[in-house]
Amino acid sequence: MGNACSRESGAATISRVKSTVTSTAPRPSPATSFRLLLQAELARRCAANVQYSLRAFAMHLDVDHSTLSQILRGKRALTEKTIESLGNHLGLDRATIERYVANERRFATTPAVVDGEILELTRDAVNLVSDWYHWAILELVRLDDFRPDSRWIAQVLGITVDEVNLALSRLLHLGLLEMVDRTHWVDRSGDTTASLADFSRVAIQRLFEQVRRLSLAAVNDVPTAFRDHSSTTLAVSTAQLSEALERIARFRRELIAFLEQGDKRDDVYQLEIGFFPLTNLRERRKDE
Amino acid sequence: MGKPVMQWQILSKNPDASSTFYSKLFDWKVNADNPLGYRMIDTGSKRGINGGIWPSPPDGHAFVQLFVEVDDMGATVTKATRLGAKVLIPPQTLPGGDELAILHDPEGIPLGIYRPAK
Repeated sequence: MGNACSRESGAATISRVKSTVTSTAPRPSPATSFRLLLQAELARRCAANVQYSLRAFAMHLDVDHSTLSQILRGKRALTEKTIESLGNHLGLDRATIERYVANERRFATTPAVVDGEILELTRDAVNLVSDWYHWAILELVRLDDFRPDSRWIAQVLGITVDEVNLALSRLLHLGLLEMVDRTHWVDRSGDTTASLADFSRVAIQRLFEQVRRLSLAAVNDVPTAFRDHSSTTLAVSTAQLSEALERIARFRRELIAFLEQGDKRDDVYQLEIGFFPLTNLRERRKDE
Repeated sequence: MGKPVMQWQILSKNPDASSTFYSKLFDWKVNADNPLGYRMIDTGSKRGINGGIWPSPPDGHAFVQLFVEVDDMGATVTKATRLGAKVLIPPQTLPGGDELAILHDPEGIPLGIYRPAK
C-alpha cells in the first residue's frame, strides 16, 4: 500500500477540459509527417512575425484557409495530390515530397494520427500560446454566464486586462476565437489535446510551472469543498508501469466525459495528474 | 461618405507607460472604461482624430496603426485581399458593437478597418 502524504478532497464543477497535455503517445515529427511539417512551418512563420496568420499561410500555399485549417487539425486527409501541391509551394524537392507521401500512407493507419480531434501544437506555436490563460479564456467562453468583457475576464483569471487583450489578439489571429457579435464569442479551437512530443521543452516547462503556481495558490486560497489536491508516495513494480499509464489516461478521459455532462457550465478548472519516479534507479540500472 | 481615417492606435509593449507619457506630454485624456478595457485617447481638440493604446507582444514591435471606417466590412476585406493585402484578423464584432478587422497592406503595414456599431 502507498503512503498517503496528504489528502484533501472536494467537489468540483468543470466546464470542459480540452487543453490536456499528455506524453503517453509517441508521435511522428515534422521530418516524417507532412501535416506536422505544415504546422511547424506555420509556427515558424508566426514566431518570426507575430502578425502572420493561418490565412496568410493559406494564401502562400494557394489553398483555401478553411481547407488548410482542416488539414492542420487532422480533420482532412492528406492526399498525394495535396502533398504534392503544398510541397511544391513550400519549395520541397521531388524526393522529399515522395517521402512525405509514403509516410502519409503509413501514418494514416496509425491511431494517434487518425484522431481528428487532436490539434497538434508544434513547438513555436506553443511558445505563442503556452501561457495558461489562453486556454482558460477559451474555456471561459463556453460558460453560460460568460461576459465578453476583458475586465471581467481579467478579474476572474487574476491577470491584467493587457494580458487578456494580448491573448485575445493571439487567439483571434490564430483563428482559435471568433467574436460573432457583441455578446457572443465562439471557441473555434475544437477539442484540443496537445501531445508533449509536439511541445518544445521550454514551452512545456513554462506551462507546467504556471500550472504548478496556480495549483499552489489554490491550496492556499480555495476552500477544500471546491478543489482536490492529493499526493501519494509509493513503491511500485515498473513492470506495471505501462498499464498504470493506460489507467491514468482512461481515468482522465472518463472524468472529463463525466464533467462534460453538466448542464450548466459555471466555472473553469484545471485537472493536473502527475505520476513520476522519485529516484534515479532507472538511470542507474541502465548504467550497470 | 468617403472612407475616413477615424482613429490611430499605438501598439505598445508597455501600455501604461505609453498612456502616462502621452497624457503628461499633451494632456491627452485616457479612458479605459469600456468592455475591452481599451485605452481610448481624447486629444482634447475638435481638429484631428482621436486614438487608443493596445498592448503589443513582448517579443514584437511597438508601432502605430490607422483605422479606416468602411460601410461594408466583407466587401472591403475581399477587395483588399484582391489588391494584395493579407488578413491578419478577419472581421470581428467587438463587445461595443463595432466591427473590426486587421490587415497587412501589400507593403506589410498593418491597417485596421472598422464599421461603427449600428
